[in-house]
Amino acid sequence: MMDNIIIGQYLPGKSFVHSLDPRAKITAVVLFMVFIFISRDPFVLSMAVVLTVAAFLAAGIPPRFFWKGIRVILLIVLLTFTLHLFMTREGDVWLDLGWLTIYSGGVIEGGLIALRLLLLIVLATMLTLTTTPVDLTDGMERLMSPLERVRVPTHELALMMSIALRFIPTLLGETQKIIKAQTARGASFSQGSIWKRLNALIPVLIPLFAQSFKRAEDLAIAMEARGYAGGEGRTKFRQLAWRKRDTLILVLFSAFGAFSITTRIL
Amino acid sequence: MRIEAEHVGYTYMSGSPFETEALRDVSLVLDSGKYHAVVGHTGSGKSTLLQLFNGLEKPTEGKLTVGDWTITPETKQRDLYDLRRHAGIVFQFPEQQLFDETIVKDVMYGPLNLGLEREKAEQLAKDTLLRVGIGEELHARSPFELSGGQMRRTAIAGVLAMEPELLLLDEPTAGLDPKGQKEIMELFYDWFKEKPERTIVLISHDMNQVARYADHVVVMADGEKQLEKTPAELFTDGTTLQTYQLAMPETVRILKALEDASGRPVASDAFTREETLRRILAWEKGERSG
Repeated sequence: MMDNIIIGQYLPGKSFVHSLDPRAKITAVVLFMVFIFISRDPFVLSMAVVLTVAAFLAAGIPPRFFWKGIRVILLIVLLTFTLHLFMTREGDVWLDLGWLTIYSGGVIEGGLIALRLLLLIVLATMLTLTTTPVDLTDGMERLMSPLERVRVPTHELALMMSIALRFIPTLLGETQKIIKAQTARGASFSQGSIWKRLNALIPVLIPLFAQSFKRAEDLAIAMEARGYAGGEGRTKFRQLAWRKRDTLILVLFSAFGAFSITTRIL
Repeated sequence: MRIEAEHVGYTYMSGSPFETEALRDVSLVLDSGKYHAVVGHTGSGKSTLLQLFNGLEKPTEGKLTVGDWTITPETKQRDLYDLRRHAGIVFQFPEQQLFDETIVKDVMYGPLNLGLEREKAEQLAKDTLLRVGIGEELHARSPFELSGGQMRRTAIAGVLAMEPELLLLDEPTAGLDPKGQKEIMELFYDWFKEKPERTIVLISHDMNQVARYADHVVVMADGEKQLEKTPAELFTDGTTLQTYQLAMPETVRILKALEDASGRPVASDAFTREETLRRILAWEKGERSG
């Protein structure tokens, strides 16, 4: 199952979306995120669907691979939908079973939230799937750079993010290895009560933490040994290049945002 | 425990862009009560093969028989649970699996999972720890306070305490100094000699180890089995070793050098220090009388 989680993974490719500047992609996703949650207008939402589908097609991600990776996450979307379905008490009663009443408001509210979440997850996954971790953090650092004036440590934040992203696959691999080792020692993660299953995770989590701390120390020493001294005066080997297509994407998503606001005001 | 593989294949992350074929059409028989070794380069599929042997992974093609268990792609994980009680595996850097408060408790983890009573498990853990050279004074300590070598021994004790019949070793001495390597390998060998049904499958890059301990060597490359030989056949055959880029054991190298330098044939299939010495003495004797 762990093999299949694709959030945070990068899939090498040469598609249109791959070639975009990370700054454009990050800004677009942020705009999308904000405005999709502002609007309830069906037209805006269908526009959001079109944008997401277009992004997916332009990114050239194999649909089967994507589907397998996002399956687990769909459970969360489904859970949100169910919660809204049962908790919202507005509108007409559609179903009454005595212990359970479903209102029309619940269906609409649940559907709305589920759709927004789904679109958001798909688009955000698209961002990480088409952008290398290095590009992603470079983009973040540049976008945050105005905050430096108010003493936000943008370089350090970006570095933290890139280290975190860098070690996701390492950690996953390690987790798998430890799970295997403990399974070989008779551990079972899929039998017994929930309490028993949670307990079965302790022999996995403790070694994982112990190793993460050790690695963090090793990494700090390795960085210091190579003269790392923070972001001040540091130049970059890789330069980001803004092109016409990036402006195009930015205009497209800004238009979406503007449109979303108009429907809200009118 | 006897292992038989029939046209076994294994593909990682099938159906994704990261799909990789780790094993292709592997057929072999590993006899019970023997010391087997699997050698080959990184990425040759040997680690994957080892994990199939105790049911940690299921073959995606073919059929595997380990002792009384048959594993096919359709086998349920639940049915493999039982096999793992009889086949222990020591991974590379096994000390990374230590987790419990004390050393004894950590070693007890396996036996307790097998359903042993607490007292019995504790006794077993203590005995096994002594056998791997972890003295009583350390038993109540945290495994994280130990030295690297001691941690490795504790982790190995954790596997041996489950009293497996089949022991799978994936480069168990990686990262140890020569003395530590020898001690660990001797430990496994003593364990192996104790009962006739005990079987070992060793993965190692160190051909000295393979030549010294194994009865039977399987050479892997690119996910396929290349050949199976006895150490005596494989390690005296310089051409084959070169083809698969395997190092020649030091003992063989010394004897071959002696042969080349003296121009007189020397039987070079000696893999222990004592045996090598005997060959050299025999050569010297021949030299004097000749």
